[in-house]
Amino acid sequence: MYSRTYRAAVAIPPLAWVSVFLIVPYAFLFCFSFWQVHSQSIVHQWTLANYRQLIENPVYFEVLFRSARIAATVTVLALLLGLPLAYFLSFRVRASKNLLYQLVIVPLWVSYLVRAYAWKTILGSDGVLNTLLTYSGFLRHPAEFLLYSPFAVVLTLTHIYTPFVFLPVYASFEHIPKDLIEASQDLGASRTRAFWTVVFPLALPGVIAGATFAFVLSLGDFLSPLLVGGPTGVMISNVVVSLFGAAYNWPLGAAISACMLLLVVVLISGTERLEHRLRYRGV
Amino acid sequence: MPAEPLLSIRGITKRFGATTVLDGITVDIKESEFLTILGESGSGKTTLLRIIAGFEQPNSGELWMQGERLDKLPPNRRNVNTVFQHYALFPHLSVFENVAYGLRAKRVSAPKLTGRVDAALTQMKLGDFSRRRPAQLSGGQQQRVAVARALVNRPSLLLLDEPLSALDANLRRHMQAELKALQREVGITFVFVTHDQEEAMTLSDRIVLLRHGRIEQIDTPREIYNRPKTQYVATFIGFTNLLAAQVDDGRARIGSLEWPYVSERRETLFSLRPEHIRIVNGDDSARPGGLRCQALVRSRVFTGASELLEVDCGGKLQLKIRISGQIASVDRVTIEIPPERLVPLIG
Amino acid sequence: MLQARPRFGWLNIHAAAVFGFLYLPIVVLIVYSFNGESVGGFPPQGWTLRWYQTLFNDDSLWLSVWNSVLVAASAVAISMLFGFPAALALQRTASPGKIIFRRLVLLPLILPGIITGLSLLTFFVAAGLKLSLTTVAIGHGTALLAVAVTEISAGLQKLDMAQEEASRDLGAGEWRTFWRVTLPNVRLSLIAAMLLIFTLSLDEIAVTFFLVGRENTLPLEIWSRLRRGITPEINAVSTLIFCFSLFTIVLWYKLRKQRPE
Repeated sequence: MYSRTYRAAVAIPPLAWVSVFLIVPYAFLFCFSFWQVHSQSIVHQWTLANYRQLIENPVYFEVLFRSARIAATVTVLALLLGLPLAYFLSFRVRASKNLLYQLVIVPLWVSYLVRAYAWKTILGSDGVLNTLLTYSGFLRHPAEFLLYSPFAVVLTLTHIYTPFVFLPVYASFEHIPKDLIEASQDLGASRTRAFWTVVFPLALPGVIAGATFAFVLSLGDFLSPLLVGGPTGVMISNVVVSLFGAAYNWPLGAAISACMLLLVVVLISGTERLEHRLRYRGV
Repeated sequence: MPAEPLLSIRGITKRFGATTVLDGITVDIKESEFLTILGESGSGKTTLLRIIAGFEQPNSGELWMQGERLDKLPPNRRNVNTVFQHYALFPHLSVFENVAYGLRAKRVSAPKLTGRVDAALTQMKLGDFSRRRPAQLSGGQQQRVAVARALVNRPSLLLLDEPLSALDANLRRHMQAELKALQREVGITFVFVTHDQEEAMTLSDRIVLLRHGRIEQIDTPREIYNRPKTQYVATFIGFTNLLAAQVDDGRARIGSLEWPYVSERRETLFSLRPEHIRIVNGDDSARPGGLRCQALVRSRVFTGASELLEVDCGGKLQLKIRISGQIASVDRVTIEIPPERLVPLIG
Repeated sequence: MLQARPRFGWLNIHAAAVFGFLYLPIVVLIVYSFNGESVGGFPPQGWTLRWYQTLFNDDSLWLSVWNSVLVAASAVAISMLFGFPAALALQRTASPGKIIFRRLVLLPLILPGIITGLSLLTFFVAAGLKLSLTTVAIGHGTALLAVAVTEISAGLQKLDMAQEEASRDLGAGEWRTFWRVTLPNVRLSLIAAMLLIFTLSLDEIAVTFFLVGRENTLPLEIWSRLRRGITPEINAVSTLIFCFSLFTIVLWYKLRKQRPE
């Protein structure tokens, strides 16, 4: 139905932009990872030294591992918070469903920085939480670990990414035809059985999508660690940031970034394929 | 000896906001009967079914089944199963698992479960499909799975919510026959909801005709056809002629026709089925009491098995006549109406 | 209707707790923006509009706001200019590379901002471009192109293909069909997309972090102040940002709901 001119006109400009500002930069990142830095300047010598360094020096694996652990914790917590909430809104609420849904979305739109900063206020030694705990007698001294720790990073990231998990899960709950749930009840299933045998399996693609989102974005996060992480809450992206900043080793930073990019792409393709297979048998 | 009804529906009323969808529905459903709830959209038939299934709560009224208050039970504890309009098969489960679902919920032991599921599949001629997913089946096959899934639980009552509406005409007729035979075989009470009066007539032992949330008539197909109570029933089921006759001094009159009828009312509407009007030759002897008149043929429609004629008897009396076979193409006919076929209607 | 009997159980409590958790920081922020006392501390002492006043007079902050607006406007232009045709290509034409193209365009949505930011940084450095608001704008436009594609695709999907086919059947060419049929019907999607991109760009920090030159955007300005130490002004400006975001999301949601079905 569309002429070649039309098809070219709509396809070429975005393709061009994406090539220049997406593909080429990724390529450059890769190139940088094979170069080296000598006395404060980047030398365009092709070498695998950076990658070797990543494998040989245990520090990097440690940080990566810790980051993965934090990301996994955030994902699990976000699921524990977001999934029941999505179920509640989708199946238990009738009247104010729309309003409540919007209320969950609103925090997504509030600046990330603003929200992370607010946690700083809450978790500090003379912040809201500590003051409450010491006033009420729970603690004698303010808890130091609340701020500038992995705990604070996990808390902040969970706060940020719970709505991210909520959205696709809620969408997939809403997509389940209501008569399927009635059928399960009609056949004698209790609400719990109906959930685990019908609702959850059919919502699985959405759950996987949400979890992937939360995990990948948490893994690559560097702002929260900088704000509330302190020295013990350093994540892999912070290492990269410092390598591109004060530590001035762009090639090494690029190598880590390239690895991250690869990891993320592999993860996304994997979960996407999984989602697709689960969706096929869906409605 | 009248048997105890299986399901007693008493005074069920349901409102959605300001609209009253069901108004004081009372009917007793018998054991082993094929009962159809017939009505147009908006008549409340689906709502009534859903109330029996447990997906809606009535505003007032009671449901009694086997000595227990049914309406107080949640749907998963009623001994009632439903065949849904769009089948509601679980897309992520195989045919076997779909059918086994209810038995698993009741924690039936594995060997018994397999036995019963296999038997149900065989009965519905689905033996070869047990491993397939619903998406791989045709509409007719999916429909059978839905029936198997419900029946395998041996409910006291099977509810069917317009299960054949998604099928094309031929398949539909085939499935109608199958369902009728199945009900006879299994002996469970079927409560079938449809808007198709022909379907209702074909399948049912009894028909409950609903209109705007109220029962118009409950009767066997034969009775409801031959003795409709109201104008709505007469026109909803099949074709009919409506004759507005004047009643006076023990006789009813319309146009040139006159027959004995006693009533308090001055005017009465009568129903006359098109196929009950005969076309006669002028010299045929009249049947005793038969009402004759000359008529002009206005139009004729050949419908295959029969022919539908529209005739004008003069005095503003227009009638539709259905004759099997065909007659010669003529302009004038003599018609004869047996007076016992004129059914007086209330309302 | 699944269960007529309302049950107050742990699900309700859980939902309330999650809502509380989501809104706690926001509430704290708003309360503290009126805090009489200079720093943290609980409970907040006194009520004051002092911080909003200081904010009003803070020139460098307003400059950064202006920069953010400029960047956001450019980001909208870029995203829409390249995202609209991309959406049309994906929704209306069939071609072999579609899947890869879609995946590529949508990649920045799920990729952590640092990767998009760093790759563009290496590119600009290699190309000899100095970091400035322009580089930031390019970064935003590229990253948010995916948002434009997603929003507009959704709008195009709702538009019945039959309408476009009817237009062609009646003799209109592709461009006329586009102008007279497609465009008016996706108008709401376009506006919603622009609104969304504008707001996301104003708040963007991860990609901006690596591409910013001497002039700051608002988030970067706040960030650099945060590094130097907490000033209560931050609470005030955060509250204002929150209110603005709230306003835009309500607007965006209303527009989205109005989409022709």
